[in-house]
Amino acid sequence: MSDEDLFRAYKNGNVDAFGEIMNKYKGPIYNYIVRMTGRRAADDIFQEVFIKVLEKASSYTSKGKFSHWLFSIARNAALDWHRKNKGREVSLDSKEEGQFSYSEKLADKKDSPEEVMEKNEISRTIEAALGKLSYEQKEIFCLRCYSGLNFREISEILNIPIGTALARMSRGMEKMRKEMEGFL
Amino acid sequence: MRCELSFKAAPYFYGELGNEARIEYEKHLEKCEICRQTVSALKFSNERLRFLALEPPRCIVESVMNHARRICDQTSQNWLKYVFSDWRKALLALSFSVLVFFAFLDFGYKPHIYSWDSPIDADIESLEYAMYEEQESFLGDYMEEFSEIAEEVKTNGKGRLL
Ligand SMILES: [Zn+2]
Repeated sequence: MSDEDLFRAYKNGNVDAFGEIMNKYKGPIYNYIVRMTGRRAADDIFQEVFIKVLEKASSYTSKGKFSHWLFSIARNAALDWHRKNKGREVSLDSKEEGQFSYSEKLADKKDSPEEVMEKNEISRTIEAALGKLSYEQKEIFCLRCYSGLNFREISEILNIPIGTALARMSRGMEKMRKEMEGFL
Repeated sequence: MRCELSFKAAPYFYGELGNEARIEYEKHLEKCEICRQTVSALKFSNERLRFLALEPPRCIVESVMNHARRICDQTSQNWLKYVFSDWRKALLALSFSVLVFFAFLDFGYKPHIYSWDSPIDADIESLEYAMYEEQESFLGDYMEEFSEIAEEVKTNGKGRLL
């Protein structure tokens, strides 16, 4: 069953159909939001996005891809948060936020201390590289990474021409490449 | 250092370039270090981000699912409410379905099939049955005669017709 069929089934009162949608998209949506807003805000925004999906179901027309509609809701929710909380650093590894450490997740139990250190460094490199991007650059990078939508569809979500979207992505990648030089 | 073609690195990495554009860009990649590094950076970051992916807290997923359940319950209640909002509507719907049911039964009734077992005309043999009987007796006589001739041929060497 396609996402569109599942969502239609939910609209007709089938809660299991929505369960399938949830299982498929909870990871991509959550990680997109975590990257855009930070872990502390992510839980609330994640919930808000899915409640909106449930309650605004009638505004979804089956003509478009379901994932397109879903990610545009997530994108707007993250952007709203960003506008209200400008200046707040989006850190995923900061102890003061009481967050789960990415470095811990990266480390495999079988890893030697040297390997753990190496993996931690990789994690920090990714964090640092993403930290160099502007909000718009990170937005397009993360949408492409997590949504599975192509650049044309993403440019529709962002309401910009495809050329602008590719140029924005390219400028972001320029910064990422420089930051990661030692690892490539 | 920058390359004016590096904007193609991302669509190339995600498989969004057409065949011709892809081949052309692959040729460019062979001689452009910047584009090669950009593609590597995309590969590296995508792989690592997938590896670093987090799961949303289970309690939050559960609360969203509870909300979905409430909405679905309402949807089915609304449907029932719509049908039974007015007892006259419900009565009309019921009598209409009864009518349709009997109309269907009537069309399905085929008297020539059931007439054999029908108590009303149990003694009356239908035309089809009479014809069938006639046919049976005719074929029976013929077969009898035929086997007699066959027997004669066997015993006398020739039949009464030869
Ligand atoms: Zn190049």
